[in-house]
Amino acid sequence: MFDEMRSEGGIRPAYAGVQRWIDGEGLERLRGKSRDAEALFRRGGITFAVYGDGGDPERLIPFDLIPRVFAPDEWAFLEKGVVQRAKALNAFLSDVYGAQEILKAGLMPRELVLENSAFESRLIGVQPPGGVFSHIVGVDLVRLSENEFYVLEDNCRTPSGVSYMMENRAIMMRLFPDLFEETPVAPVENYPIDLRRTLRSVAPQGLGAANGPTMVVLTPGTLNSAYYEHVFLADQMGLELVQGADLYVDDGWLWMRTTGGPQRVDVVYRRIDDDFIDPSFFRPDSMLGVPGLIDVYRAGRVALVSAPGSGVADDKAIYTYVPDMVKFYLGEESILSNVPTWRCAEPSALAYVLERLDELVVKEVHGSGGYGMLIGPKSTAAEREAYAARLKADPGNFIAQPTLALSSCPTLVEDGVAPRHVDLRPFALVGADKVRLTPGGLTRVALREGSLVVNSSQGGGVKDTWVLRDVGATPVNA
Amino acid sequence: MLSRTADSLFWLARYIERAENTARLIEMGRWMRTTPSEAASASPWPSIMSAAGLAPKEPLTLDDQRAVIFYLLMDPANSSSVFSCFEQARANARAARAALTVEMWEAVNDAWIELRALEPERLENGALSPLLEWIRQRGTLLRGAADSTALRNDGYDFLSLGFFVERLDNTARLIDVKAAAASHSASTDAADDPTLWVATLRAAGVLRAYHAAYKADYQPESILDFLMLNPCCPRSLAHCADRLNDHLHSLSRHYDRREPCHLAAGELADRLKGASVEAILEEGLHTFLSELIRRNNVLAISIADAYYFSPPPPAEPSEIQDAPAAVENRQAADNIVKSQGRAEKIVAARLSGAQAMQLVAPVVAAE
Repeated sequence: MFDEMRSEGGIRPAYAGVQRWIDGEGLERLRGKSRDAEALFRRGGITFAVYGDGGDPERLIPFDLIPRVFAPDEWAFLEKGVVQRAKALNAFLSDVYGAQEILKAGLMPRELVLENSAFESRLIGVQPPGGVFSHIVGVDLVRLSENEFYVLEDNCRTPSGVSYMMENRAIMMRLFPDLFEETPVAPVENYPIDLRRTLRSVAPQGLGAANGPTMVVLTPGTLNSAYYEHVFLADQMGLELVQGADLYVDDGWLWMRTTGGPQRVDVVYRRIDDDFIDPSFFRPDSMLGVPGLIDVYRAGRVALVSAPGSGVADDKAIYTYVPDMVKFYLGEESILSNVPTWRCAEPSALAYVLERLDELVVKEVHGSGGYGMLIGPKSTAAEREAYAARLKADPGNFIAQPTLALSSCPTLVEDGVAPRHVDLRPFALVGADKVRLTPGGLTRVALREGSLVVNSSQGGGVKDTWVLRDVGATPVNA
Repeated sequence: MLSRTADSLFWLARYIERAENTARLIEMGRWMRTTPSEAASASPWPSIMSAAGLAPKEPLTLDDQRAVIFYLLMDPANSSSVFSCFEQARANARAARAALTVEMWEAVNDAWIELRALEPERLENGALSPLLEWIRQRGTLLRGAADSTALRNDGYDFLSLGFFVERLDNTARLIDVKAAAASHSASTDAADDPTLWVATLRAAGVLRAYHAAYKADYQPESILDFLMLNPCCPRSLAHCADRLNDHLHSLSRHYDRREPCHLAAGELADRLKGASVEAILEEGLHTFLSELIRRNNVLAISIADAYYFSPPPPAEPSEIQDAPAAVENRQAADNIVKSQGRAEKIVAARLSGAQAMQLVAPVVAAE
């Protein structure tokens, strides 16, 4: 297991400042500050709901005080890789809803795309304003060793968690101002400005009012697990936070109800899934969406962020082809590696996976949030047996990966400061003009000893993620 | 601004103001109980309950002070209890969160977090005064946060309209408690008993202000003048009507249009400006106050209508027919305002204020 702070030779240089700070504060003070941080989150209403029976609708995500640190060169590598991947995924979407060259070239099975439940064949031939499909690409990364990073999955629809990237930093700066004076950490506070620029760059040409296009954030409402984040982003960007009932389609355009009467809307950053966004096009029982919205989108009169149908690019079966996409569209080798993956749709792979259920991680192709997966080494024989039955019933719905030895970071737990497994989700912003990446991201941490499940919905916590500025300024213990 | 956001700001203010006034009413009830006086010899709670616009459910015995106080303060089944007010204020704040400053949000959120975790001991008689004071301070905190941090835009006007619509309603109800207590008493002298008047001023939080303005002369006429017609008194009906006019005027400039609500507000203010205490007493205090409460409610409805509050679910015809019950049943009154924003359903708000009065709120017959 790779410990990001400690190597055999002692503390890694990037963590020198953090180690000094831990020693200087001492456990008691850190615990006290940890309680302060929790009170700040509670007070700010910074919560994340857990769905299901008895879940607190406004649960706090546990926040771990000890930051996760990347050295400048480590980040430079990740940045190149994430930007490359975000470009390739968008090129893929543009292609499959256009000429479908990648299918003609035979690089992936046609049915994998065309029969994918996230693929929207009725939208073939529709290119979104600015040519961008997936404007916010969250790439989930894990680290296995000094130089080994793997992409666990891509999130091309509406990845959440970016408010935590910013709130975690704000709370750390409030609790430990001295720490940031000593250590040159790259700021994350420009994310909303960059997001706003990204949204503006895809506004339908020539349609905006004199003072610029009208842009809104569309939320399912206060009961949604990520409602806090929707508020946060709308607030930071100075945009209205709207619900479906605030919008309507009339005469081929999208409008919002305001105190001054109807106002036309040009860009919708929607945090509602495709299924619910337009009951006249997708699920007719949805109360959350806006009837007729897709027609306005098809006419090029509104930008939807992300574009409907983008989910086909982050499908877990499509994932295995991303390195091929990079080569096909960009003519480059993929900088970030995929985790070796068995597609259970293939009979030989299925047989292999069924043999080794006790050592592999098996996931549903369309699952997310850590629901419905089997972690072989942590499972009981009975669980494996039940899972094998599901697997055989519908092999195409599953993929399997080796159980990865995720890297760990020092974390404040009951016994003191101890290593816990982490992952990382940086957020790439894809505009019509350029791709922007904030130096930082969401580090999720599995708080239970030995656990590899970092999902917030499964009891994972979060950490502030630091990208140190240039090497010359990095404090290194001599 | 988004109509739904304006709606949330309006109701956020109303609920916070209402919680504060419920705390004041309870204070008044306790004071009437503990102060020996002929007029207050009967239980004050029936008049307190009716001032709060509440028709209690059967099991509640109005002689049981503990039960009444629990019902008014903490009962989630009572949609106007302080508990429900804070809960709904917070729900509105959460829905309009992007339109609130951090300070305003925290004032509301902290209040809800603390009240939700309230220890039962704090409802004991001895601990009640600090609790009621704390509740009143939540209103002060939100108004202060708005005053010192909020943008002075249309959102600020909608928030302020909520405060003053509710305050006007509550002051009228508070005076009505006094009127009702006096009428319940067998003694004819009770109407002039200064003890109750002092309680009313105290509950309104303007006892000292009254001393300054009227030299501690407890003439019922002076006290009524202060609480109803003197625009210098921040809780007076006249002051609330003036502020409502100010904020509506600000909105008419912002949107460059005048609506029926502007007329209704103007008429409300004129009604108070043209009134004298003598004439009101002649007419009957309760009758006058009932009319004011109705006018105020019509104003709230016409504001909601003018600025397209709330997504429009279809209004049930029964809601319109129930409108005259608004004075007695606050929940019904709230629902009528909330079901607004659909002019075609309740034509009243499209008509002039006077026409609307006739349709929605026929003046109640003198009892």
